[in-house]
Amino acid sequence: MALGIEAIGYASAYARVAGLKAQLLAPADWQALLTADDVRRTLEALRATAYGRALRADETGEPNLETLERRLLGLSAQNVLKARGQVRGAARTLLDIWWGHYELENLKAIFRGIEHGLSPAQMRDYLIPLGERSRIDWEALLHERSVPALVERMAGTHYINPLRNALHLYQRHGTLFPLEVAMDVRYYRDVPAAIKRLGADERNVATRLLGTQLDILNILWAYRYRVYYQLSAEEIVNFTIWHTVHTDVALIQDIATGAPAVEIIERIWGLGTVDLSDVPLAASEADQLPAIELALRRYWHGLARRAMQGYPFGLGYVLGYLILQELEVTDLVTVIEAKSLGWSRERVIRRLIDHRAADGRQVE
Amino acid sequence: MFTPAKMSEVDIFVYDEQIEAVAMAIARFGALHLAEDKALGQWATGGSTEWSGRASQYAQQERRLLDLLAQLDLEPQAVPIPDELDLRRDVSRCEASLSGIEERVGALREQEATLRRALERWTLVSHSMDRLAPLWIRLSELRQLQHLHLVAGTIPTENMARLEASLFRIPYSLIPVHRYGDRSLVFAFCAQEHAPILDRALESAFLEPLALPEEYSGTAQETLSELMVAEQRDRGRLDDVRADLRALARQAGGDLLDMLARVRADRAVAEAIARFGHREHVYLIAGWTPTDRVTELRAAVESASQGRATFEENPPESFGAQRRVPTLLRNPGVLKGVEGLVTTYGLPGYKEIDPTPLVAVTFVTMFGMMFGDVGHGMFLALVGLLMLLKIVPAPGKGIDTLLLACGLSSSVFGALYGSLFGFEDILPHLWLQPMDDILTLLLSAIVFGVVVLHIGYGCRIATAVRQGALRAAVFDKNGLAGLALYWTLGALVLLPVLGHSAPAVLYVAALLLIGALYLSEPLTRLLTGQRPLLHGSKVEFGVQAFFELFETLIGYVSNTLSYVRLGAFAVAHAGLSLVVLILAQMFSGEGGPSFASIVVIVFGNLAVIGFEGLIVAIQTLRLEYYELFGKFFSGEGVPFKPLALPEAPSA
Repeated sequence: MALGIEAIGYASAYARVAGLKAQLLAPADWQALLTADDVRRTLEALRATAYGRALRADETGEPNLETLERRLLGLSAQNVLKARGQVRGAARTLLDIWWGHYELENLKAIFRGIEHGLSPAQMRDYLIPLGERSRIDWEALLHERSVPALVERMAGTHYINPLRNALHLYQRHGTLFPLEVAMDVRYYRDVPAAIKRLGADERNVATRLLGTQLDILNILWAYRYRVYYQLSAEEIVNFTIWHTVHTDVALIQDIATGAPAVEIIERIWGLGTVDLSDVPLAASEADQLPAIELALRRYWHGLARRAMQGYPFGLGYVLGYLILQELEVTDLVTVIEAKSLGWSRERVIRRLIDHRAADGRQVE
Repeated sequence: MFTPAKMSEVDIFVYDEQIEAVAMAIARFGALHLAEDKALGQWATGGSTEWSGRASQYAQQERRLLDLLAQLDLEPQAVPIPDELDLRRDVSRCEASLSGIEERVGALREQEATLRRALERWTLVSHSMDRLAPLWIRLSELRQLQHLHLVAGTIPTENMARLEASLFRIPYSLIPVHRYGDRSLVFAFCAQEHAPILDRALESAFLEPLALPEEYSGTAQETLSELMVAEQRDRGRLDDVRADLRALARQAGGDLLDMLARVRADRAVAEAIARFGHREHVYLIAGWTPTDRVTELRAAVESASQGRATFEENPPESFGAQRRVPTLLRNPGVLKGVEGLVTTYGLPGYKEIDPTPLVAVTFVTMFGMMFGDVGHGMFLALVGLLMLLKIVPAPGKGIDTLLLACGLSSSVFGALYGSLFGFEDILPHLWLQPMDDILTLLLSAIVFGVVVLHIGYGCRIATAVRQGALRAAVFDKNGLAGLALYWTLGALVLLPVLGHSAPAVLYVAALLLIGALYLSEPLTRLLTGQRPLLHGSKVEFGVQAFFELFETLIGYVSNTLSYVRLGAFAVAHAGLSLVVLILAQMFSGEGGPSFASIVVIVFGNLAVIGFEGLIVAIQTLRLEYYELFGKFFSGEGVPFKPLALPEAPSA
């Protein structure tokens, strides 16, 4: 908790973030979205919110969900920059690094686009709009013609060595998977390093919020590798982050050799901390995983919400907002997709991260 | 010279089929600053995707050309832009040639990369053979191990720990053989039954296998000798490929630079056309050009359009405050260095005074006053001259003339002070010696400062006249009321010091002027016909006005006394030089100066020139920026950036 001079330093950040927080969807907005009959009406309702500026003027029918999600995430990226402008020192560095995950998503999109032979114009739609803050020459990347050439174009970034190391696997197996894993592992190494450079109070709150994100990512990656991709134990160990706040090699080895997800979650966070009541324990692991992922994201959402309800003049308030806003984008995409599939309101709500009453936001 | 160049707004209406010729003519003319989009009104929605797309294609070609130049180790150099540019067809014309060269370069680079990898492999294999040498085992036997599974390869060193952790299910042995850069050459062993696990672990740790060369079956030592032969052969081939690349660079370099100049020019014009207004079949080119070049521009447009374009000229006054007129400073070349100092602070607005000539005089004078020494001044002047003659590279534009001027000014003041490299007993002083007559020097500095401040007030009033806002300048703290109060308070202070009594009228005037400044906002609004006279609450206004007035009154004193530093630094300069002489004397022998004392004098003077020179320059800048510019200069001008063909390619 920042006190004294530090608190003064966070005063403007609090004011800025409080203003941004007001743009989060209100209960009435959620009602309008959830009760819309079809996608067109859902988009109309969305257009009336702060997210409306992510919609194109001609976007009224069935939107391309992936490109829409990118544009919505562009708003999230802008919010990170707005918050970043109000903090100083190691906190600003942390936000810079966290902002880098939008660049990472764009890089993956370009790799996939080139692999599938998309034109630069087509790939551009799948990029999260990052404005002039990004120092990567996106136009140059979009015009590359092959994955190896794209890898070499990454010279000068911290992704070049991991990509070069993984390139031979791409050339041998013809899949982008090793390249994406290499970039992920490289990127997510920077986040704990940035957290370590914070002052004690800031470090605690960043560890709780962003450290939890890394824990969740690492666990989910390990389970997806085992359950969906059927990778071997040794591959799972090599393709995950070395260690995060609560996960280490021993835990990943346990996951790789078949430890159930529920047991792992309880081992890390204790019994009852993560609400696993919606997880169908009798179902197969493949059927459990989506529910486990949702449960973990809800837990993370809860941490972020509590951070915003606490002491306002600190990094927790800023990080809490950024996390909530990004998860809100995820929920928006879920709603739009569900509407396009004709799902009922109740079925949609069960899939939302922020599904319960919180801050007086009555969604149900 | 004292004001930015007078501008005219021009609107040029051009038919579609002539737009390229006209745009090219305007770009070659190089003196039309395009208006911002909002100035185009309804014309701005005419659509420009065709030309944006074309510009994008040229941008991509430019990137590829720069890439090729970099791959061929060629520096982009200045090349004349071709006379005939074809905006529509150049992209395809360049594409054929560019693709051909790219293919040839690509093939050679690929050969180079393959050979480099091969050499790297020979090196790694040699290390492997070094490690296996004591075993006296044949490679053919190593390939047929029955109970052991052996993998050799290179792995990112940072992945080693993770690799070992991933092998938690099996017994294994991992031997690091050699480390190079961020990779390590390793041998990994396990039982044959565990081979799939080891292979998966190694692959997922990004190990690149190093196959034991099939062509060699002897012992490790025998293989080593053969490897040396292979390595030398490949090294020779690599040298040949590099020679081919150099030859290609010589052969294709000229074409690449020509293409680059063409493509950059095409891109600049295409981007400009994309910004023009467009409706139906007519383009609107709106922008600003110096009034004295309108005739020339009109002639160029008429020639390019064969008389079919419509050309309208409008004075900037016809647009009011909605449009910001760009600023073009026209100062002689000798003032470019000073102009750089001015634009570092800010660019004068179109209606503001260009203070460059004033700064040229005041900066050089103040610098000379603080750095007064004939020897030091001549040294600076000599450095400036060497830069001017391009014998020594100048760190920036105009620095040469600035150094020369400051050096000469310092020499003049050095003569006034009678100082030559710190020695004050060689030249007679024409005015005073700083260390001996400090009070006169400081008072002179203040008098000089008062003159400079008056220049500032004068500029403020002149700017107000140009902007047609003289009434707004009446009660401004830097305007007429501020100046009058400065005189009044100055008189009230000086008259008693000089032994005279101050007349009562001065006190009355002072009070009235203080009241006028206190109420400057409502009085100004009254004079300029604006209502209401006050925004916000009267209490808030009262408190704010009080503190502003207080700041103004304090400012009179601080701004005036700030110029004392001119004298203070002159004394400091003399003092530092004295220290050098004292140190030199300590090394002198009884028979006169020794070699050591001469060394001390030389290096001491160099240190004084460098150290003091930097400090004096900073102090002079501070006086210019804060005391002078602060009176009248907002520096919010829009720079005049004409549409022009690029001068030279750059990476």
